[in-house]
Amino acid sequence: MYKAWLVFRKDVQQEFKTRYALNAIFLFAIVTLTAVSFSIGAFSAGPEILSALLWIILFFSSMSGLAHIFVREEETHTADTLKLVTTSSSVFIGKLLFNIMLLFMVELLVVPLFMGVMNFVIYDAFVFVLSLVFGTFGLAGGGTIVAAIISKSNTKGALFTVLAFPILLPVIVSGISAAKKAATNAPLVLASSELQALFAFAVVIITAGILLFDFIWNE
Amino acid sequence: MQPIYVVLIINIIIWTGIFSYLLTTDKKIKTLKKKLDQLSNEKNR
Amino acid sequence: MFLKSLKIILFFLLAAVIYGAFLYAPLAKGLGEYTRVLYFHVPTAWITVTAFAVGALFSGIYLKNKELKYDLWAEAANQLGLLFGVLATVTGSIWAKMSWGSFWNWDPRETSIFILLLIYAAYFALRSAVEQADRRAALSAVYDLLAFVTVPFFVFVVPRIYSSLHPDPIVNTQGKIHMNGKMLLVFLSSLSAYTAVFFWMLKQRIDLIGIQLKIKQLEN
Repeated sequence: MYKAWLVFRKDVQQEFKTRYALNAIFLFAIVTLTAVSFSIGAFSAGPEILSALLWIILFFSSMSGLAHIFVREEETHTADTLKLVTTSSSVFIGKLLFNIMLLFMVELLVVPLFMGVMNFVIYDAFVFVLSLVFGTFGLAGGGTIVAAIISKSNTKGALFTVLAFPILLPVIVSGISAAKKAATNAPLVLASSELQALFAFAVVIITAGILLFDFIWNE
Repeated sequence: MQPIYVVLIINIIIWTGIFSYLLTTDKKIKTLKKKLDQLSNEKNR
Repeated sequence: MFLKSLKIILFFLLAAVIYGAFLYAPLAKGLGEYTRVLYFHVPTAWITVTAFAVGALFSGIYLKNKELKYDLWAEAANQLGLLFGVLATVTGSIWAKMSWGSFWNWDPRETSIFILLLIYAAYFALRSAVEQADRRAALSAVYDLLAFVTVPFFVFVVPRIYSSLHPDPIVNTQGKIHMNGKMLLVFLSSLSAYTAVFFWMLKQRIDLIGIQLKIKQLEN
């Protein structure tokens, strides 16, 4: 576990030297938010459309940044060194922590901005925040393992979204549904199946990721 | 359209799908078997 | 000889299924003549899931003992799953047009099978993107297993969130269709006959892979 923390620290330091993933993901989120806001404007869309838009922005901006963490190791040929010093599961957990942090940073910026610009009113903040947190774990878990797969393939760019999208679709569907319920003032009981689904998905995908990562990493 | 013909069409779609797949695999197997025979003959010579 | 007699039995079983579906089984209330679609459409959907499960099994075996053979078997099973998935989608879509009025309306079942096809299309996209055989095998096996653990979410979670019009003959929770003995007989024999066809196709595919590997061995 301590080694996973070291991998995480290393990635954070490396990231803040170049800010490649951070810039890509932030700019992507801002650009899509602007495009959506321009074309729709505030006050014209209901909570159904707004919650779908929010998750689409979150999903695709995370897709633009999550893959970078493994691709960088392959491009700079540092993967072999990392293989020597730590176990595969600690590498995976470290990278996962980094991606989770990245997504939380994006959400901290994008979600308040989205709510302000699009006039997206949340009645049940608890359900909304909880769905975002669980959803982030699911997105980061799936994104990290798919990023590991991608980094070993020959074409890296477009394939990441193609591979990640169908696997992560349960997160998007449940997330949109939970956000919709939080925005239309439904009691917690009604959103519980979405929250359960998001939580279960995060647990399953992260466990599967840890178990399967070994086969990719030592390939 | 009468419902029974719809059922018929659905049935035919499934069977053409299965048969065309089986036929293409069969063709592939035949050509590869020929190639295999040729190769093993060359090796034996 | 044994296999040949099995094939002959299978032929008569399939003929009996077609006869039974069109002439022997009674019609269900509310579905009319379209009840007969049940005996052809449901088996294809069932085989889709079976094929993907078999594919995931082979992928798991590959990761365990790293023999290239199993990766190719997994590819074959997934290919068959994709074929039957397309068949199930097309036939289901025609059925939907006839009884609900539109070819496609994002019913939970339609959504799940669509996503399933999407996942395995992505699987083949991944396969085409990697050139070295052993690396391709490992990566696609991992992706296959990863995809397979998310499948339950589509089967159980999505239908819970969105309500469905779909008749649900196997997981009969609300009891939308009650099958009587005759219908059940035809349905189950159809299911087993189509499953046998699937395994036959898979075996043919595996033979093909065996020949391909032998040729490669001889060429080197």
